[in-house]
Amino acid sequence: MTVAGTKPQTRKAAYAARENWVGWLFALPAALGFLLFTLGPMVASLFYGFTDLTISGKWGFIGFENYARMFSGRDNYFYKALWMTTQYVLMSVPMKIIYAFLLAMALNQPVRGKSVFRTIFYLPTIVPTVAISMIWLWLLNPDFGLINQVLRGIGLNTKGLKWIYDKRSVIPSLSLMSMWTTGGITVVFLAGLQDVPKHLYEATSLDGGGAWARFRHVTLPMMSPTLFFNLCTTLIGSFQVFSEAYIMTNGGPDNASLFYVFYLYREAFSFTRMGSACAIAWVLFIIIMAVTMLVFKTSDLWVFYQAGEGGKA
Amino acid sequence: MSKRIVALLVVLFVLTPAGFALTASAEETVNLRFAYWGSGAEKEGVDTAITEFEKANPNIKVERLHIPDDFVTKLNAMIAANEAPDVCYSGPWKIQLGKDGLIYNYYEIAELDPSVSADDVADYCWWKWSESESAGPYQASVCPSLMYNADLFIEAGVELPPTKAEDAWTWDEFVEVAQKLTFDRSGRNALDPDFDPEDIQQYGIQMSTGWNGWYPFVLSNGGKYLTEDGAAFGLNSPEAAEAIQKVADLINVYHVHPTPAASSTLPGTATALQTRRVAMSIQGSWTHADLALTEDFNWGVGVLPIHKEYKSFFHGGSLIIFKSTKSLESALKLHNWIINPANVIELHKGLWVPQLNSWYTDPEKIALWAKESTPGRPVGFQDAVMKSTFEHAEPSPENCVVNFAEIDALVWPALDNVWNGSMTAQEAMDSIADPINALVAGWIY
Amino acid sequence: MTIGKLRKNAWMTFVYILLLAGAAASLAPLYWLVRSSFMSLSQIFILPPKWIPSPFRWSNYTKAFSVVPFGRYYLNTALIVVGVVSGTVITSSLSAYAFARLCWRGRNVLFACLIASMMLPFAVTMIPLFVGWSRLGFANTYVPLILPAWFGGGAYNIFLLRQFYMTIPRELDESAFVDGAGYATIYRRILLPLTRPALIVVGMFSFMGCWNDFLGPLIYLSSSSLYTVSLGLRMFQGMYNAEWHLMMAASAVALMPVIVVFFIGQRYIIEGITLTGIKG
Repeated sequence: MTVAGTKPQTRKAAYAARENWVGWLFALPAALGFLLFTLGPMVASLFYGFTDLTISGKWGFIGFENYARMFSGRDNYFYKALWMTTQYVLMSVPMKIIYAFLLAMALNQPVRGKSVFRTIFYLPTIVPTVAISMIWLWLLNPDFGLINQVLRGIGLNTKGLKWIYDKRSVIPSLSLMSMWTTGGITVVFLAGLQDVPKHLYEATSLDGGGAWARFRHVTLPMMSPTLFFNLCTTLIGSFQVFSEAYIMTNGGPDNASLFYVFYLYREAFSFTRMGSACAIAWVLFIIIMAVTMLVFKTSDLWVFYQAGEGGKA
Repeated sequence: MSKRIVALLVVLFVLTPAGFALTASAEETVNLRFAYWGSGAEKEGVDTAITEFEKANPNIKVERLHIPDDFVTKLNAMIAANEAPDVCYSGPWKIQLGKDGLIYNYYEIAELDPSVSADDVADYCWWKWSESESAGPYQASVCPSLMYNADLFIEAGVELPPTKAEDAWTWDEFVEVAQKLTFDRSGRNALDPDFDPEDIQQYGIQMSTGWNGWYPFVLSNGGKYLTEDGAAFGLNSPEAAEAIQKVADLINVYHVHPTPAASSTLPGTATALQTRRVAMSIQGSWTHADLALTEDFNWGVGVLPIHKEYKSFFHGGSLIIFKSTKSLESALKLHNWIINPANVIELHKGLWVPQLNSWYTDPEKIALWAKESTPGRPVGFQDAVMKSTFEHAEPSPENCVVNFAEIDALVWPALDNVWNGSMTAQEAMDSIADPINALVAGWIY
Repeated sequence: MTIGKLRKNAWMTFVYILLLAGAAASLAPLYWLVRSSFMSLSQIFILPPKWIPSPFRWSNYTKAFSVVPFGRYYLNTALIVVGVVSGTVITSSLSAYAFARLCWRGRNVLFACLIASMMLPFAVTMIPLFVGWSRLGFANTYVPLILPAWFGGGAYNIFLLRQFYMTIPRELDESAFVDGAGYATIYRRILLPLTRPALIVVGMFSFMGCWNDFLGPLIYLSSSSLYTVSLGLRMFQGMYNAEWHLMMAASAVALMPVIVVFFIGQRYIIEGITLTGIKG
């Protein structure tokens, strides 16, 4: 554009100055929102973490006592909650991502009714969490639930398959349930797949590569940024799972689904230890940051960014 | 921009519910807020009692806050917002509120309204956070009760449960009756060698797996929640563990009690008895109110089975009065109104049982709430529930064990392993003994 | 040739089987919900189970509505939704315009902060916000649920709209600029009309997020007259926890509005996700 170039220097500076404050004006809601509802509370929460704030509003400064209580094991639930949540993350994240990727790959074939399938896969994600929990509580019922019925129908022995009522299977059950709402990821994958340039597949075919080679050398590298994006968001989301355990299992059996945020909620709202709950929340934040950083660090090894497509980045 | 903000603020203040505006009102009128939980019948009973209270005290208006679920969360929200009710129901968490100085010490304010005599309340009916500080006596009591569907006994040719404590079944007799009343889908009972425990149609017994379900049997076997001196955890004693194990054996050895998973498909106690899914139920006595709702349902009550000697207990919440109340006098009046059985007599004909000693000894008072052959009080009630509990009552751990809420939060997850058969009661209780001993701080009553 | 064709057919068969299985897995739970919601309690417990209720029991729905005032809760939720959706759409599009089009000092820093805040667990800010709102006297009102939406509407939405604005050729606003149009005019006359689909997406997302929110109403609303549909459903569960036919009917009641909105706006929603997903 040459328009700006022809203006005298002073007018250009005036425009820049004007744009400077107009920009701030437009962004003001977001800036204020960030200060009031994110940064401010974050600082407050960090501070509360060093106090014994209770619901009555009384507090005293207690240094690292909240953290010491957690890490020393004097708090009976911290390690348990952390371990259960980690199990859930390790199980549900790969299950969700692989399942979503498979469905997206299938949808990316020349199939009929593509948009119908897409809508169907997306549908469960809009169901309210409370309703999801109720539906699955019923589906997973060992005696009358649909899932055991179907398994029995195909001749399997479902004796002992107690799903959320057994501490060995409660985490796998909740992970399975999380796959149901994976439609959002599927749609994102599908969009990514449709953006893979056709000529790359053709080139691979011309070089004599089969379906596997096309997948391995074209699809996977080209999809790695999308995978990366989905991996990050799913990880962050899975660490914060709450309602399912709150509604379906109340953290049981034997605390086997005492998810981290549920533990935090109990600390804050049942035991009314607000200060300690803030410390617990900060530990979660640090864990999530660390895990996300780790994924970022490793991303150099496996995420392939297309050069020259700047407009899309 | 500023116009929009003003408009926004206007919208927001309109959205703010009228609750705030209500506090200002005509002079002399005192407005109280009363928060409580409980479903259908209880809400109705409490509402009626409050209406009566308002009639008797025309200058007091009571705003009713019925919070059926997540009560603590909601109450905490109100406290944090300086919007605490004046008077409310409470669970074991009230102790923390007392320590935080948010609620009145009942001992200090009781003399302001002597309409309820403290002498009439047994020692074990007080909620205390220290020897001299109390969150009040039980607002009413409940107790464990054995209820049954009489038709199922008659059809199976089994004698009805005894109603006198001295005739109580031994545990083995109880198990045998439960076996005779448990049927698989082919109609074989649990004593039949071909009985299919995977496909049970009718269970002989179902009981609460919470502390109030198994604690009578721990007591009966000579166990206690804490050791006698209050110095250590008591449920890992051989007597206590044995009693708990025997409850678990009902599920896993005799298959006469539903597993935790199967329980989730059973309707509530009253419906389960009525729809013949369960023949006997050991549950809180509040269930009598539900059972009373259906006419011509042939149900009854019996005494609990025993191990060594007959033991049971009363438990209950108390009404707490927040220090933020603007009128302590009126709040106390409301408190004393509701805890007096005479004012809430309808609730005491099913849902509750009185917490005042005189209501168990004075025949005139007994006739007011425990008259037999009424919908909530079947034949045998006075022996099977009223006398047997009153004469053999031990302190309830809920209010008599210091730090009960936190101790119990460790006990019930550990018991999950016992109910599903993956641990013995002894192993489970031993496994949590150390963290619990760190919390144990004696008895208080 | 024929072998290739055969392989292709086999492959496509496999693809269709996968898709149909996936579709069945997505729909079966919803079908099971609807089925159970029309049955009596004893019908639900028949083994082997029936797929079609007979007779249809509409009374479960009447019962659900009579026990929990869902009508009222619909209205309550709708009130919150209107507040949240309008706030989100208005303020996030304003901010996104600033991030996509205008040059101002601190822009990149603020944008980075917003993106980073997506990583922040809600649990960290939950308690200070709760304490803060309560001290201001806004506990048990809709203010804590609605007002934050009027401050940018969330980093995710700003990000989504910014991406969309970036795809609109700059030449359009520059020529308008030359014609003497101010920033506000450009925003209103050029960008808003062109980004309508994206605004609808943001609206839909915030509608669904808000309708489905559980924790927010759970901690802020204490009077049952102010409850939302999710809380109503939770309350229902508390009262009828083993009466599955009624619980399923109540769940269906809570579910209907979102499904309707979804079918109206599904094309936009899916496009919207597509937009955010890959282009980060």
